Amino acid sequence: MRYLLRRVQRLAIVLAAVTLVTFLLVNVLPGDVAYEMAGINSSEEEVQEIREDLGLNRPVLVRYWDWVTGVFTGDWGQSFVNKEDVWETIVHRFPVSFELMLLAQLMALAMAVPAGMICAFRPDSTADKIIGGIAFASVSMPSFMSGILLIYFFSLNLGWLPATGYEPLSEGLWANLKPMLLPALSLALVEWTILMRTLRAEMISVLQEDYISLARAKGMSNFRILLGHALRPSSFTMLTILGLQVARLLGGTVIIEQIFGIPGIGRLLIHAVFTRDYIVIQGCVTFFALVFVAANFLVDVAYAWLDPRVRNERLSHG
Amino acid sequence: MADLTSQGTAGKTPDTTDAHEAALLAYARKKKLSPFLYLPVAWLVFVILLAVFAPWLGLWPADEIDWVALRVPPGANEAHPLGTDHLGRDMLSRLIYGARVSLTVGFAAPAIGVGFGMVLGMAAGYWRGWIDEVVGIAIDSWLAIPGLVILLLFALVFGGSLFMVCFSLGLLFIPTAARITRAATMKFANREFVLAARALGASDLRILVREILPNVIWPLIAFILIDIPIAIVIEGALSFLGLSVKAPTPSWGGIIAEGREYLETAPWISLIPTAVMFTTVLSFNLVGDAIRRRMADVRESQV
Amino acid sequence: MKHTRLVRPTSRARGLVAASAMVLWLVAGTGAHAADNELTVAIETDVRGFDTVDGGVLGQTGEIVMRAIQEPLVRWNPSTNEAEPLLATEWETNDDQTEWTFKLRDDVTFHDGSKFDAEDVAHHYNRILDPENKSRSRTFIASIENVEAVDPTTVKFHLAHPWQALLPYLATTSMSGPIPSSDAVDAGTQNRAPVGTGPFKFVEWSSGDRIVVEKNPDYRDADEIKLDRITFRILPDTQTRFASLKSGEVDVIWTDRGPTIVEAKEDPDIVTLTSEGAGAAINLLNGKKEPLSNPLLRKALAHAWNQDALVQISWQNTRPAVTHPLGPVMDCGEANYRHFDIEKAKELLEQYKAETGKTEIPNIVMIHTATPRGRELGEIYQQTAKAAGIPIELQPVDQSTLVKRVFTNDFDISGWRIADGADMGPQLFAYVAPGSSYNLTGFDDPKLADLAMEMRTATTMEERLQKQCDMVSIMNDDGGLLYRGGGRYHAFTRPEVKGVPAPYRGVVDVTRAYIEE
Repeated sequence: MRYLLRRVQRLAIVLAAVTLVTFLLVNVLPGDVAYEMAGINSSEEEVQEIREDLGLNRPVLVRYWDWVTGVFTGDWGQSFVNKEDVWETIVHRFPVSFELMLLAQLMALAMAVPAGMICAFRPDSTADKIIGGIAFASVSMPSFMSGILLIYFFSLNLGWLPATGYEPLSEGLWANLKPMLLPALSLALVEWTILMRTLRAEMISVLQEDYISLARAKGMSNFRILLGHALRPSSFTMLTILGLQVARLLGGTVIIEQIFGIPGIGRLLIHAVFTRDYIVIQGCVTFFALVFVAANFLVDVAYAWLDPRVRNERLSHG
Repeated sequence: MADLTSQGTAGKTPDTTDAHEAALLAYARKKKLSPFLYLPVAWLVFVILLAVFAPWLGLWPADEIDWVALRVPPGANEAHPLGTDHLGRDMLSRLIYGARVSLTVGFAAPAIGVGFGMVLGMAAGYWRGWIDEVVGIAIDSWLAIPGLVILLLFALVFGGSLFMVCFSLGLLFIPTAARITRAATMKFANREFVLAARALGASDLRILVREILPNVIWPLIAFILIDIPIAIVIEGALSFLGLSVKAPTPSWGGIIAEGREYLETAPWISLIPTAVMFTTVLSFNLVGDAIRRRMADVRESQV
Repeated sequence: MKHTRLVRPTSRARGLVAASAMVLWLVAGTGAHAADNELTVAIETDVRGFDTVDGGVLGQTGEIVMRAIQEPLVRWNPSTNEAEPLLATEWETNDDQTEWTFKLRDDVTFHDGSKFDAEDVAHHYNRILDPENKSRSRTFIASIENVEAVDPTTVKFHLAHPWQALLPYLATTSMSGPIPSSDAVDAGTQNRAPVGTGPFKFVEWSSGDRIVVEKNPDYRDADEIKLDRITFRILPDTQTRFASLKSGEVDVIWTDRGPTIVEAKEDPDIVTLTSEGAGAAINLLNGKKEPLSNPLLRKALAHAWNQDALVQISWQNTRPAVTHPLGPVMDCGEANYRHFDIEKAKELLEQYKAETGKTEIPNIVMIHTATPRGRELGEIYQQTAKAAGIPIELQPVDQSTLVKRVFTNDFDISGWRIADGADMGPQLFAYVAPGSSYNLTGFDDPKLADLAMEMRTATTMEERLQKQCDMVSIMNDDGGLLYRGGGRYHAFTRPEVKGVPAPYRGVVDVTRAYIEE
């Protein structure tokens, strides 16, 4: 319990540091939301008036303090550009990106698990080498390029899947999933490699354990040994990586969301950066940090719960 | 990356550095080279040589517009063996000059990240206490901000010089490098040879540089190897968003992005740099992996 | 850890049931899709808002949505260049053209059920004109002093001076033209949930994703409206919009990118809509600051600018090269336009060197957006200027930095654009008036300032347009504004979509569209 308390304390400090650093960074950005808002057909005086209205002329630390106290009362501020409530916008956009990430990771898993098992079963066999080669090839293709090529072949040439778009779940599951498949695949093509390699490495060592030899001696089929006995103990690290990746990748889907026209949180963020909508950038980054911190905390809790010995070691690792 | 931390620090003593290299060479000689290794190495050598000697190859200037040869397909015009792009610029020349950007970023960014990360990690792992706390919080905070956000903000604040691209990309590699170094440093900080050096009156700085650094450097080199292709891909993404080096300097990601509009009418503008970038990244991955494995093998064989 | 059998038969069976349920849901889900009378239109950017004060500037994409929801007093007919009745049925002016009286329809209600009358018109315009409100729309209609509701169906505009641009500006579908419900404005909901009198009612707006409108059954010409619903999808990436059009997720797109336009025109399954307009994409040469404050250097750069090459390469001839920004309404002829001429540029450069005693050309920085179109522009100018012996350094910035640097006089050369307008007068005036914060290139010729005043208060349209041409001649001679393609607009639809007119001023009007089986 004391261990978890200390973690909470630590994560709170991290959150404070992240928000302050972002606030400072965002405020030295060249360009100015006021110019963006005034538009191309307005005058310098009008721009100054907008700055005044938005309170942008006050010192940075004062604004930071206002913002922090606001967040504690549930007020994440309003977008400078379209006056929408920041928290509501994030809550609206987050599930879209989250679904994309989840789907991508599921696809990555679906590729990584069988491939990793085949590789681990006979390390350094031809199959292992071929799969290893494919995995490397797959991770070597930047996702923005595989995205473009996937659209080109599957949508424009074959016409199997829509090129872009997003449909809310209320339109039906298939309608919702269909436009998500290609973007998720272009992310999964990069992600599955690390999962596969982690699984392979762990499974090779698990397969050398005594109880596996015992199962073999009992005449159990290879398939049953791999699936029934070796998979679960081998997948612990892989699942941890998977969980942390979901948190990490949430902000990393910007280009994919752009190419596929998906209204996720990545696109919200990049739009905010380009329009200098400080308060939205701040909200997004804080939100990402929260997700990241929460994911880390959950992993910590899981470790502590699974293995009391880990507590002290993880504590010292920070 | 978790596996790196453990394998990179497998039992090593300070006097093994030379022996290590010798064993590595012996190992390489003993084991037959596979095409998975020599093809990528050949390609990388080829690309690196072209990039280094680009100014002396008699290429078109990469920014020169050939007004009468817009979007010439590869092979159609002797003056432009790989064709021209939408502005009539020589594709071959742009690819080779683009390689300079990608390779510089590929090597420099991880090195910068490891440089900073190493200092932080060694300080935290050696002195522990409040330094460790502060470094830990800094690392966690850094990790909690998505990498692309950091890149975007830096690109917008500091603009598109090659140095700034390398530097801001390098920042992304700091946290992991620091963690690896810290773990390795902690392992060695209480070893006999360190205690002995301290008993002999060596200063902290001397101990860090002479005793600990030689031991923590190996896992970091493995880390750099893995990160070269990653850095090249991220630079590509940044160029794709128009936030890498400024025009008219070509970069692979930039050429791909510019050619996107012509994917139907002049597909080579996008596809050739895609193929080149893919092959290069793949080669780095394969070579890096092979070296890393050998390093691990050698270390194991020495235990 | 214990390793017993991991999957017990019971849980396996449960999994099977769950899986088949999933499949059923999947299949069922496919049926529930769009009715036939729906149209999906892809727009480039999200709208900031629909309120004249909070929403700032509407922009071309915002106007597309605005047209469906709200209506202005009059409609501009681009073929006759005259105003036609819309919410106003007739109008007249006094002798010195400073008072305009409009008769309004009395059978119109807003989507919220309130009745449309003169008070709504007066409320809307006076709100814009009140300097306290800081509406972004005020600058260009500041010649209106105030608007008075005489009775429920009569409204009177009081002008500061005769102003030929009144009717064109009342007809615009940007922020100032369309009349909102004053109830919605007072309630503060107009910005995010606009209420108008138009053929479609606002339904929902999911920021950054889509804006949905549905047919207004009480619309006075309801039988003209065939669509039940229009979804405006926000897709910022040109390639993405085009791919979506080809694969059928959207029915209508707008774009200004040359390669995409050329490709779309060649596609037999895509219908092209084109119209000519005014305005121009331009380069600004900053005459307010060293080194371009020297007119010789500016003029040398003007001759080193190759508009034809840019039109050919970047726009792929989808826009005309122009000598003035007035569009097809008025032909100013050559208007002192400085054509691409490297020899002349070199000559002027020599004069510049002789006059200033410099041997080196000072550092000239061009800022451009970090987009493919910005890069292209910079790279082409850099090459032609280099041929003339003038080195230009390129500096990529993003849109908001570019705007800021242009306004704060922190640039040498920058891309910009003169927006299209039914009347270009107010914009030209702002560009050249001494002391105007929109005089970005530092025009300071007193003759130009006088012409601008005369143009503004001209009492006939002919005189007004002639004065505009005269202004352009002086501006062209100065070399501070370089054109890089005039106004021509393209929109594309799928073949089954009918009833969409050519995009006037770049704004696609989808209100009368229908889908042919």
